[in-house]
Amino acid sequence: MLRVISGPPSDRRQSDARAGDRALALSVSRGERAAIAALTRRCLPVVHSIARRMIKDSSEAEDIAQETFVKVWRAIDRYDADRARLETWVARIATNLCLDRLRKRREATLGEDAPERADTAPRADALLAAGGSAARVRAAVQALPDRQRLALELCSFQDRTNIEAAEILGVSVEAVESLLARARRTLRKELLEESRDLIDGLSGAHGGEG
Amino acid sequence: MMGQDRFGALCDAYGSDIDRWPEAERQAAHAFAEAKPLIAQPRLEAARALDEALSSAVIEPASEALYQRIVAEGIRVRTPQRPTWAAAAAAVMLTLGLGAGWVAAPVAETPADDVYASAFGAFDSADALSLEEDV
Repeated sequence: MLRVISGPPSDRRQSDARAGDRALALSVSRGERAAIAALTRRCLPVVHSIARRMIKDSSEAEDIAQETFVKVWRAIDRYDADRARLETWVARIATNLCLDRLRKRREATLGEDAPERADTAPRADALLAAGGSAARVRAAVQALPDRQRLALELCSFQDRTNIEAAEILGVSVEAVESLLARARRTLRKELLEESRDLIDGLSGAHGGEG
Repeated sequence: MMGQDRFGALCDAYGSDIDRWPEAERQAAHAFAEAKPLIAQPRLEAARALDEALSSAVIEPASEALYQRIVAEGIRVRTPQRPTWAAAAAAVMLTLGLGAGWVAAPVAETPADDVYASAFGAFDSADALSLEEDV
């Protein structure tokens, strides 16, 4: 018997994935406990990582994660699987909440005319205060401008594709590439060119991969 | 074939692992790295050093307690209809019951009294009969 194949395998996989997302969202909207648990289990890692990377305080980051899911539970009826994967949609909500929180914090500190933080190198005092190697790397990443930090988190730490990162950040793929390049250039300058000892120590700790 | 500038730009943005670069450009990037190793390898090595440094800055996973709180909130938010409808149904039934009871009360009073009276009446009659037999 002949089987009609409607498209290339990747298209079918994507179609199946979106159908799965649609079904999960529908189950959540009906209040099915297993579906609510499954969506949380699936999306919490990306939400928590975004919040933790963007918001330094861990309890505040957890608040953002919870707030993200409250919005998800309330808006799940409006989720459109044809527009975005479920994780991308949820991550976008988390991203917007984080950026909004950071913007409001800056406005409260500096006044309403305060611009987004300039694309500058991590502050030397932050790196010095961080102490050990891993802490210094975290401090250097933390000191990056918000969108660079987000792009780095999504593409370098979470293995999201540039397309997914673009959807989550609400920018073009080219913009994601630019954010990543600027972030890595800054980090390379701060962590490698000015701190050669740091990378030697970390290479030893990671088995000195060649 | 991919050019040197594009290879360098991708390396600067996505790091040393070509398999994590944008899917559409991976094949060309691998081809460039094989064809021009003297150009490609130093770029990849420099990127690898930063990748290794960044590997120490991974975020710790979310706690199980946070997961449980979020699930509990999800259940609370997505299943409010049941208690609401149950409460509404109970209120409707109570209202109907009270209304029906109020309307039907005068009608029901007589048969209830009859039953009450007949029950005791029968008992009284039996007593009377037994009394008569005793007599």
